[in-house]
Amino acid sequence: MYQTDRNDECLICFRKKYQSADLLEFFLLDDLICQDCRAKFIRHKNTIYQNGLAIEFLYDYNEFFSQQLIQYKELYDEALAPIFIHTHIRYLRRKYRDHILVSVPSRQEKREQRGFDHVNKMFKELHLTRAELFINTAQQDQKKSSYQKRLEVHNFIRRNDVVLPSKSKILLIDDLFTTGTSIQSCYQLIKNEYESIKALAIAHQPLKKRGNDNEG
Amino acid sequence: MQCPRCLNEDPRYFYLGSKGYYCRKCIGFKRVLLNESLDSPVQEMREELLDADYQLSFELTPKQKEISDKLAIMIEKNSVLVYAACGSGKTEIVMQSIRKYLKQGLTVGYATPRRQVVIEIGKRMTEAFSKLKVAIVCEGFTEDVMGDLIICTTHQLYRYHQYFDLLILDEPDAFPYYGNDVLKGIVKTSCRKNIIYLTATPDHELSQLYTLKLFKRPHGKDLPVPIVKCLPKSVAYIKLLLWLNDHKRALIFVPTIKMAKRLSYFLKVPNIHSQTLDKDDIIANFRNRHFPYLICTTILERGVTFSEIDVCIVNADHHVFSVASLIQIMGRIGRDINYPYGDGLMLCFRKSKKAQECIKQIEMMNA
Repeated sequence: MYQTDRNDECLICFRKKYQSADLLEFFLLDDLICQDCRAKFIRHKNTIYQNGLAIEFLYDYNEFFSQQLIQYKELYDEALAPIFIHTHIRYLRRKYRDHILVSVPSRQEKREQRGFDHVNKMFKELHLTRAELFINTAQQDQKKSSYQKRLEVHNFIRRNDVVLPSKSKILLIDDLFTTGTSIQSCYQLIKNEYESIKALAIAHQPLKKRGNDNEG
Repeated sequence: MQCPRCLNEDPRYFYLGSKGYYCRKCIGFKRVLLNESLDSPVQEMREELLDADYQLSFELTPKQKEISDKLAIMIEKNSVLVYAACGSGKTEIVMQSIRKYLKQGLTVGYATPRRQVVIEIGKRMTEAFSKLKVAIVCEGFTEDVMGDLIICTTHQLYRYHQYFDLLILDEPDAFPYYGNDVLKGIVKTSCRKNIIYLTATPDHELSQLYTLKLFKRPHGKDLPVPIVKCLPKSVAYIKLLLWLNDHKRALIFVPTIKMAKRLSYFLKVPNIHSQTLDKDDIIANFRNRHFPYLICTTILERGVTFSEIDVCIVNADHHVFSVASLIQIMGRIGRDINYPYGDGLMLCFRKSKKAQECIKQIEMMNA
């Protein structure tokens, strides 16, 4: 009764979704937020290659995007989980249809505070098989750490004892791609185990102070 | 169903997450589950009661004294609205009530919507209550949030759930508090007992409360009544230049940031608006008379005191200026006890009912 999912209100601004829509949009549109809010996300599909790993992004990182992401993962607003990939969902399902989703791990303590795993919840609508291959043993929040500290993340990501058939296709998922350290450290741990590994992140945030990109 | 923090009851804003229902209306202050009990900060236990005496650098006028005594009695039982003209010394009036509460070992908070005002009031309170630890909590000052007397923006009140016995809410008609249900709820939940509202422009809802009126300024002079000029745009700017020629020190209010930047370019004086980075520096420099004029948006409309100043509003018919903000802006004039006079000018591009209403209300206060 209190779910807002199927309502005709925008999840971000709480206005009626179809207020400014024309007739065609009214019939064809299937979105969780209104078109004014959707327009503030800048869709920009892009793939970069880093150390032999292809990483795909869906959005440009802008002010509005960061606001929503912070509201979702730092202020624990679960309702926003599906909006990030909602408009890409058919494309993603087709492209990655036989892949297994493996998320970059978040800290155990943080996950318990949130009550949900924020990366997996974002990609839940894809309905792909999920597997947990890593654990994060870090004590400190990565966001507060400096550029140099960020590079040390690979010390905290560990492989656990789950083993998948070596022919399975792996899709590494993460929310933000900044320096690529965490996604790369996951990749380095499993790259000899599986034949095909790809990566998908929601947005690419270029770090202002760039050292060298090749650092893994 | 009701949110424990912002008192929201609208079912649209509730969402069932993996830890239970939570309120999405006040999500900007981090998730609150409906069945979660928010913890209020622990009050420090003290051996002896606080020495909450205060010193003022001047004497209160008999009228102020009377209101101040009345307020201290009334606040025991009800919430009170103090309806006082700009510059009539609202802050000094509530000090007696603050002392009364603190001496009983109760907690007192002073909240206002604007950061600029928090810093200003903080300074005055620190001077007056020299023996207390006055905590100033606003954007940029959040390391130490506990003190004997807490002065904060209304946004920061979420830290003090059910903490205050007496809360003084200054300028409840100012942005962003006015019309914001979330902040209204947070103010209500942060205070256990009574609230004192201080304003020069109460709305209908506040007028229902017990009201104390004070329209005379401490120097006993009338509030300056502004002149309204309704002129076409180009002529209005010429009028502005001529007016500036006659006045040595003036604040020029404009409705938009764009206009502030443009006017500042032509007049070659600094401007200040919400996006300015070094606000505190600019205001300090203006106080020290490094430049004659300052162009600002409504950011300086309340709670700041400059001595010996004249005020001009350009485009006073713009929808940004409400009647309340026009009255507040005109209240910047003649606040200093040594310089009780000053000129106000409203330049309208079109005939404006709001300007007329503003003058009507100022004349009502003078009567």
